[in-house]
Amino acid sequence: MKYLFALMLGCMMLSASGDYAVAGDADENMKPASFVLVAQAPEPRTDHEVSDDDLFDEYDTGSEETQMVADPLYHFNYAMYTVNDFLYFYAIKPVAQGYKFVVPTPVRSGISNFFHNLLFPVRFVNNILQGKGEAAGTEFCAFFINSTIGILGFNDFAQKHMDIELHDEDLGQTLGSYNIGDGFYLVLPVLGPSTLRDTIGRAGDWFLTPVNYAEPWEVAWGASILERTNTASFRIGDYEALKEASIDPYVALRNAYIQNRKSQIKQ
Amino acid sequence: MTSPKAVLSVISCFLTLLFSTVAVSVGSDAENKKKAALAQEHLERKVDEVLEIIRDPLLTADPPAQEKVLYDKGFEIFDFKTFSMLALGPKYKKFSPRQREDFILYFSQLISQTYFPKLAGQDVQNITIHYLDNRPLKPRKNVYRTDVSTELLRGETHVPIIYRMIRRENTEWKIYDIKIEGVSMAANYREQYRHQISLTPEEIITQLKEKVDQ
Repeated sequence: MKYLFALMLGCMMLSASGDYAVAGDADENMKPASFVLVAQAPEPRTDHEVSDDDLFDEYDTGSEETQMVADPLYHFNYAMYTVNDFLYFYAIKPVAQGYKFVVPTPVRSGISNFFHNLLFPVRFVNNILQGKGEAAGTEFCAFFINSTIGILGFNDFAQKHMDIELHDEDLGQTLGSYNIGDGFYLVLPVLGPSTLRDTIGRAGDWFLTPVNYAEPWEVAWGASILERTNTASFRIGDYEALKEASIDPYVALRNAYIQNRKSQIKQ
Repeated sequence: MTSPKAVLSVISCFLTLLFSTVAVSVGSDAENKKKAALAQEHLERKVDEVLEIIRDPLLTADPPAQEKVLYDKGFEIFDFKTFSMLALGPKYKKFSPRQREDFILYFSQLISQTYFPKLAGQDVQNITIHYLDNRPLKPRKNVYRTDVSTELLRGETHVPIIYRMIRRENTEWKIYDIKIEGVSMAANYREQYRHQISLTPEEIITQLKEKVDQ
């Protein structure tokens, strides 16, 4: 069943990437070799001008770091990137700063723990889909302990006092673990960087997120906004640093997203 | 006609050879592990020194002085040459020795002026660093490398950070790349420079200098 599902999605990705893989992004027109979905082996080196050349193969062979992604929707993505950038500086950041000023850190931590605990179904199901039985069991334990002793999950008792370690899992990672590629890069309005695969995963995870079943819809939306603001309040300054230190912020963000997801899938 | 003795001696010869190679490889493995442990020790010492600078009440009262001290410390801790090489990737070969020096200078300035003031502004009482693991990488030509895995705890957030360290002949261990949440900084710059296809080394340096001067 798992494999059938994987196969179906795989076919879908393949047909999608087949259509788009040739497009590449605007500034890549001169280098057709870079349209490939995943990193590829570079041309063999011929000169030995730099003595340290062969020291850093692992950066060159693309086995680890040089991850690339097709970006056929470059113009749409760039527009969305600009919109999100604007939203960050003029809405998310000021709101998060105000929130951080008003709400004391222990409360913010509690809220963060609460939402993390609530996402248990997503992590549990995806652990099972990835065949990580032990991790799924650990998730269940942590959920049980945190929901009871941790008072509805506001206290992460299991992680703090019982040495339980949890890893974020989602459907995008599950699909990735089935060797389904990114498809192509996609910047979602408000939600930020993603890929075709991760967007499909996000849609699947939506159904496993309890908050989304809250009635009336205002409660569900309010909870989502609170969660996002709360998360942002812990990360003020991270995006600014990435942007300030980069030569091309759009490419920097895209690459950071791809590298981060690859490392999550590997775990 | 071979005597059993000759056969035995040949076998023993083979066995000796086999075991000696095993012994050698095990020996160098253990040696690599020892070197990796030394790298971690060195990193821990340097991180403590940085934390001390951030905690120093006298320096905290004088932010520009503190930044200056952090900046000097940064050059002691980072191998900006290797960092720059990896950030430029294949483009590094097109740079003349002079241009390489310029690039390394501005690149180190960009990194330090973006991140060090942020470091100085940290609420250090809340920061704890856990050293999780060290992993030696295959050594080459008297150059040793080690990945030191750590976890930074800042309040409720856990940030996995891997320090990639290098030791060349007659130098101390230095950091040549940092991987934060799986994102390698050097690889991130590499990808950015890969997209600047049409730029000459001189233009890349000018662009970087402008970025630093901003």
